[in-house]
Amino acid sequence: MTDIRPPQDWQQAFAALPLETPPPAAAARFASQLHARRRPPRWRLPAIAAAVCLLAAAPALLLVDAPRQADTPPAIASGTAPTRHAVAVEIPASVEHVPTPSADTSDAPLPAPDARRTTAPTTAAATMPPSSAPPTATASELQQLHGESARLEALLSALSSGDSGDAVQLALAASLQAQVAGIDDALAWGELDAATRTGLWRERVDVLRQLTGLAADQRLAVLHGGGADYAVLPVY
Amino acid sequence: MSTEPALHAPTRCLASAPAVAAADTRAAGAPRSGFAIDVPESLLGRARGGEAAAFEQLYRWFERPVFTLALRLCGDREAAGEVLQDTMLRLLHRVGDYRGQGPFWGWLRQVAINEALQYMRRNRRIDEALPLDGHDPEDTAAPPPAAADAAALQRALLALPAATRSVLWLYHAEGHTHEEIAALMQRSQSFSKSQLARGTRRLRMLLQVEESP
Repeated sequence: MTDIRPPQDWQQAFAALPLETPPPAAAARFASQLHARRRPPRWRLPAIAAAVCLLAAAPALLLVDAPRQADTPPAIASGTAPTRHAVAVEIPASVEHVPTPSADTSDAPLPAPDARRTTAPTTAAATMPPSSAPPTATASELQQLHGESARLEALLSALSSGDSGDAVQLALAASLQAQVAGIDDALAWGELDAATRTGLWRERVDVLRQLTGLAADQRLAVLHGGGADYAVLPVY
Repeated sequence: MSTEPALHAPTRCLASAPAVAAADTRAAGAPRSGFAIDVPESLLGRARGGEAAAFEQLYRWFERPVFTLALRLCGDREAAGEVLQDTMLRLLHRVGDYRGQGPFWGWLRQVAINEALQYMRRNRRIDEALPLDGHDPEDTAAPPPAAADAAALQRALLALPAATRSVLWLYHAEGHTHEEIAALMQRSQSFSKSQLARGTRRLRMLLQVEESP
């Protein structure tokens, strides 16, 4: 017989709620993913697309973006043709920053929920270290980064004009969005120390700035009724 | 007398073995999660080995707890469906990350919570919270009788802002501490405490409105 007495506390009230049933299509969707799991994980597709597009457009990018290439760290731009290689190696670097689903859980098990967390942070921080995080981070800096991140998100939202833009821009945007998603992924795994968390937020703001710049370029191109000039250059 | 909810077996029959409620090892009085299902090591071994049937079985056992948790946190069925897929995909690709420290259902629940909060973050729902106005005394009174009405309670929960509802659910239904909730939601413990106090009062008010003729 059903117990219809009023619950004694909220725990009891919540626990008495019935489980919800997902729509039948959800199981079919999972089944299709289950049987297609030997294909590359989905995060790789935009990353690979970005890499291919950027590689293909590398000569053109060299022409239109020469001043920025000079800022590329020499450590990764080795070889006899530094500028060309700078572009070439920039791509995997950004791809590597796209955290795979494994990035945040690969080495450390998630904490047991009922044994209250006493373990070290997950490896999200280890796999996505902040590029130049200071050893200590103040709460005000984190607050500032949160604010900056929110402002950039709002700006991005305002600038967003659908998927307009040339292939290189779209590929770059996809790669940057994947980076943001990866950083969010890392931030979502609660147990990060303050420095790591601040570093991730700093990285997030940095990537959002790049995305905002890209979105502004796309918007400008749309307003001027054309794409970037380098889109028409032949690529070998 | 047991106040624990009945364990819901999979609704469809792809998974042949019945789900078995896990032994409750938590402190007395702690809420029992809908996730609390014992998963045999042999099934996990088959899943780690990539056997599709094992994943199907895990899916059948956990689809409803994952979907329910996602629905409670995100607030709509579409979002809950997305979170369910993301959680199960993570299970599919990362089941090897579970190393047996704690029950498997706890690991999967943590994955689901993270996916739900991530969804809320992406969709900016994580910031939807009740405004704070200084001191928020804890509401320790018993829920109103209308809380026994599942439909009324669900309606009242849905009327709360997403972040407030999440705090309430994680605290009352999943048994997380304020410290844990703060870490999960990337907020302070005082945020968690305030939202719990204010959210509980709002929930009570919403239910009392439902009670009045």
